[in-house]
Amino acid sequence: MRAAYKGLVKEKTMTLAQAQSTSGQAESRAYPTLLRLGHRYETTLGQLNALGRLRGAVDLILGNDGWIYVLNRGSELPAHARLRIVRLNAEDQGYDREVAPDPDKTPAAPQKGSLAAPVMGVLDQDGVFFVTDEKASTVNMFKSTGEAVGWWGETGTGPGQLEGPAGIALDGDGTLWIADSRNHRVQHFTRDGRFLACWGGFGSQPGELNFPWGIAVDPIDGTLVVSDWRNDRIQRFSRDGRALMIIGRSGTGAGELNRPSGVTVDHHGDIYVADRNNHRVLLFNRRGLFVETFIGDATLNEQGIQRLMGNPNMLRQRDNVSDLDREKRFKFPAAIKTSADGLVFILDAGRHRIQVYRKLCRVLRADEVDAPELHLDPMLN
Amino acid sequence: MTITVSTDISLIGHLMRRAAFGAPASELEALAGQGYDAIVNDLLHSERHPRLEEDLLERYHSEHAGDLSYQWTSSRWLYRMINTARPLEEKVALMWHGTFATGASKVINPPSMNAHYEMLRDYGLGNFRVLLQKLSRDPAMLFWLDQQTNHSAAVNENYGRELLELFSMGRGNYTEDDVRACARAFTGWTLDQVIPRYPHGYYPPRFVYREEDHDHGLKTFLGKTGDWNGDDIIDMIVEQPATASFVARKVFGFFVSDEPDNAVISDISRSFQQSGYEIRPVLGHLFRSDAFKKARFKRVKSPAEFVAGTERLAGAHREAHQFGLDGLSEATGLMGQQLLNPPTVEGWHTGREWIDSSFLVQRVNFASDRLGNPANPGIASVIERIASDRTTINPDDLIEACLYEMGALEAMDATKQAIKSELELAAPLDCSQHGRQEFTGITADVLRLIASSREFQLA
Amino acid sequence: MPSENGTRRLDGSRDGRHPVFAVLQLSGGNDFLNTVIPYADPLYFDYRKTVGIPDGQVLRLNDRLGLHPAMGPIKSLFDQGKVAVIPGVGYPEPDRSHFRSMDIWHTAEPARYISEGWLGRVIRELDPKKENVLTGVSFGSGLPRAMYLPGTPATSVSQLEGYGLMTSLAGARQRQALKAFTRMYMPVEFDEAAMILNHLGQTGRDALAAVDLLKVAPTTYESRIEYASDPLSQSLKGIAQIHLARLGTRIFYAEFGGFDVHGNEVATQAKLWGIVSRAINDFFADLQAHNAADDVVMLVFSEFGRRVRDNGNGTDHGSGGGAFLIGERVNGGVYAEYPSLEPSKQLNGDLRFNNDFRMLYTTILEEHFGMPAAPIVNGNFGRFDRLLKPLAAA
Repeated sequence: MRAAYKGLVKEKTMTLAQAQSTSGQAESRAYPTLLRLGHRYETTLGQLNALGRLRGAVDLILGNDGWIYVLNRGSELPAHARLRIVRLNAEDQGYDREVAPDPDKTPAAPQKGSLAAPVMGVLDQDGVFFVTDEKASTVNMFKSTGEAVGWWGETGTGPGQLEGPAGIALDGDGTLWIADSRNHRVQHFTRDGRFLACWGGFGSQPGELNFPWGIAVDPIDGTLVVSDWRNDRIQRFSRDGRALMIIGRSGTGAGELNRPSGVTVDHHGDIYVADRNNHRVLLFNRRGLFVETFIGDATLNEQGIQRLMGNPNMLRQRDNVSDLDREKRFKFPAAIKTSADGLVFILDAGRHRIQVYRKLCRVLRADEVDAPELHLDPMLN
Repeated sequence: MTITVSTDISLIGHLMRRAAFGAPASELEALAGQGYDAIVNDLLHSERHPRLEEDLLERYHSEHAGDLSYQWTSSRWLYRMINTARPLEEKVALMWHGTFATGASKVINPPSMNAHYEMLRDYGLGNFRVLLQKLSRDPAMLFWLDQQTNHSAAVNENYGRELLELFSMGRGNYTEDDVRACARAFTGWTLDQVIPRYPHGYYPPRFVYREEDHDHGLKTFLGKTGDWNGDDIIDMIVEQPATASFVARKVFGFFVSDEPDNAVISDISRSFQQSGYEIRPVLGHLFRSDAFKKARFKRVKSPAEFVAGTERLAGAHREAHQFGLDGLSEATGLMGQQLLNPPTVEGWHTGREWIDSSFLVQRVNFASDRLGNPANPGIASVIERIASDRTTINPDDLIEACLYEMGALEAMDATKQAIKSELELAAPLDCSQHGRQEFTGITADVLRLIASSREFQLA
Repeated sequence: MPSENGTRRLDGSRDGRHPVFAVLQLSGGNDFLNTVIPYADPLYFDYRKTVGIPDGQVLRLNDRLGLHPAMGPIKSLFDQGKVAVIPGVGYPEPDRSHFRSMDIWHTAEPARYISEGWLGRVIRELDPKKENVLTGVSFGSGLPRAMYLPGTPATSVSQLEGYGLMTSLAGARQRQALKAFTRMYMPVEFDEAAMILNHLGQTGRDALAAVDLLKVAPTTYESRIEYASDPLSQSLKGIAQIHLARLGTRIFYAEFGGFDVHGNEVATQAKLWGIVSRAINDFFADLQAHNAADDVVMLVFSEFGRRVRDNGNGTDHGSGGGAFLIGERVNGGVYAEYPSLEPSKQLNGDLRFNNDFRMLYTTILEEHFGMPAAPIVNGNFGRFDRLLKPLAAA
């Protein structure tokens, strides 16, 4: 995956991967302690409707071939397919290729196996994309060329049946976890669609869900982290569906959530949440403490500059804009993915772009910090 | 035996078609217990009911989350017309939209069009003076009528003229000098420069008042001289009897009848002045008047009313996660009314001009398809209601029952006869479980024909 | 129905001939600079680094201009002298909104917002007594504003096959429903309240009459031309069927979209023009095979052109587009100067139009229909000389 973002991995700053390998203990620590240096904004990828086009983007997937794949849902042009998978390259920041599916072969009417309303996707080790479709209630498989290689999913409320599948996560053992949204539950499947388990159910009590959206597997302990969308909270579940932790509550204040969508857990167990209707991204540590807010820092990329250069009236208008600050900010951020290199990719869906941040931190060895029990009372410090 | 329709139910059906977007008999019966006056009050006081929660719309139609199209605003508007607990609010917004017709074709900024619609909805039932104040600060309206080019040194009269001609007093009640003075009073009322659409999409413009670009000279407006600013002009406009009768004509045409009745219009105009230009009490007075109660089926439904009303009867689009919402705004467009994109600043030609052979084909096909389909929940429920507590029904009663279920409609005898004889209905129909399948098909056929009748075009 | 004996004059018939006009609207803003390409101008390649068509691929019309490589069939019509290329068509103060610019073309009114279409006014002239609901027929979703004029009937067909009323039904059930419809829309005894009912009745019966007439067209049609399956080819096939059925239609309208090539222009434009070129060629071949091409002139236009400079993958909204007039009556060739690509000659990064589109309309109205154009286009805009051959010599 490293090669994928080498355009961005050029700083001398120690990357997370390096930090982990030099610390030598990262793998053995169940609870890595971090010296957080903050996040640095790196770049903006994509734009509306031209080169690197994003339109009605719903999710992004970091490919293992050097590309970022974006699931697009919309187009104002009926002649175009409603779905596009756009490949963006962080290095040359520009080339895009619409890989799937061929618009000519996409039936206008939704039918099983043809993506109608994609929501989220994952990529398995064999290079197959698994994409949920909340209209057809299916999981559709594609190759990176866009070739459809299959689908599964039965509509309904019984075990193994789906109603509006949304988030999808690949487990370390190669199975799939799906936020079965309109059934208000989480379901577990093999990649060929064999039902393994389901848990959850409608409600607002701990362990209950209300239209869950994103889902992620914690790479450290294999627990499931779910965006409990309409309950405005994140829940951590054991693999057998016990609620272990509740993060966040309704609101717009620090650490509060307003309809969280995508969620991801990085290699340190840090939880990034797309706080979609608050137009921001929140970071919680693995104990559920609120750490940091991102509101967006976008800059114009080379494609954006070229775009404006071809539209002289817009150049003039732009020069008269008071408060360009607004341009930096997120609008309906939908999904987040992190790379092993410590890059954080935030799909800024309402602004048709991806904002990329770099996580700066240092993983601390056990002998570099106090014993955990000393921290029970913060006043001790 | 024929079903006797209580006058109350058919009156409530009339009220709901006019002050809301129509209702099937099941809803009318549930309302009837409250009594007519209480229903009127409840409609007027929309604040008693919460607005729809739209988080699911935003989520399930995320292809539109970037506000890329004004059609999305119009589809959401139609969704609200179908589902809102505050129908009069949406209805009044529709009335003002036809009056203060502002179009996406020129504004080219969907978030701005959305804000414009919200302004019409949020202030449409309040005070007319406040509404004009909001209108004069609405970025979409200002851009639509070139207000950003109205400078103290170079006056653009477009907004000033239409404010008097199309939005308040009407022609013949002011002079060209008044237009000029009005335009000068609005110099400096403008927008900030928006961030251009490329490369990251639309940003809504914001209203700004630029003191340095305002003409502070003396202006004579309607005989009064002073250093008038825009709000002074609005104050003077609303004092004019012409404004009251202008609003009264709009209200009459929208809520009462396509054919003007000067006596009723004068009455509305008087109550408007008495209320201090409050819209709500005027509508309350109107809905309780005999003129209103008698004016049944005197208006051609506008396409938005037609589509929203049909979908309400079909029981469709009740769930926000149901797909196909875009089809609603497309349907009204095919019938000649693209919401948020009126053809001109004068809005749409209404009344009989909604009926054009191409538009009528769209209306008939849309309604007959939606209401003749027993798979639609609203239609399934109508069939169930007619079949319940009886085992047979004779054809005349079936036709009457269908008309009743669709909101206590009325049809000419010739229409009923046509339905009866062309469907070859003679013998009583078996509506017990035994004959239910056939009965369902026949009832759907009757509903389909009623939906395609000319009476169904009227509200 | 217009009579066939050549006695009518008010409807634009001349010497017993009935001029027919077909409009093909390319929606989304066709990139004219990549349609009719000034391949001899090095500036073209400077501005079109990504989407430029290599000059070796251009289908040369003359030593300066050539067609997009996907336009082979149009090139061969051009070589037969049936295509007039008119570059630089536009209107003052170009509007880069799809909707507004389209409205301007439809209403022939750039300065004011009006709702009546220019072809609606033509239909009113052709059929003042509203004798034929099929005088104007459009294919596509809904009646284009160009054909809208209150009180003037025009028919809008989405697809000829299956067109009609009560289309959710088929066969005997549909016939039964239509019989009921006819009865429900009968005139009612006159009183004041009946005015709207009678208007509805008349309109409903008109619509049904159009349906009945149109139903006949596909049944009498036979052709060796195999149209492609895309929507445009099917629309043009429908137009051919109606024209050949001699239902008296004088104005046809077809629409084809997808030209808004902000991105992926090279592939998209090639695909679209491949479809358009083949469809037009099939259409005229079909008419010719039936000896029915002589009176038909087709206008191909788009609401605007696009930026001179590409955006790296496509082109954004611009102005200064162009148009084609195609048919047996057309004197083929390139009319008018191609707008200059010189930076100083551009208009805000666009080609500067040099021919008002109403000049084109005027030419069609006066030369083709023999109808005074000024009342329809609201003014005098001149006309292109000898763009059309005299009707009698056609």
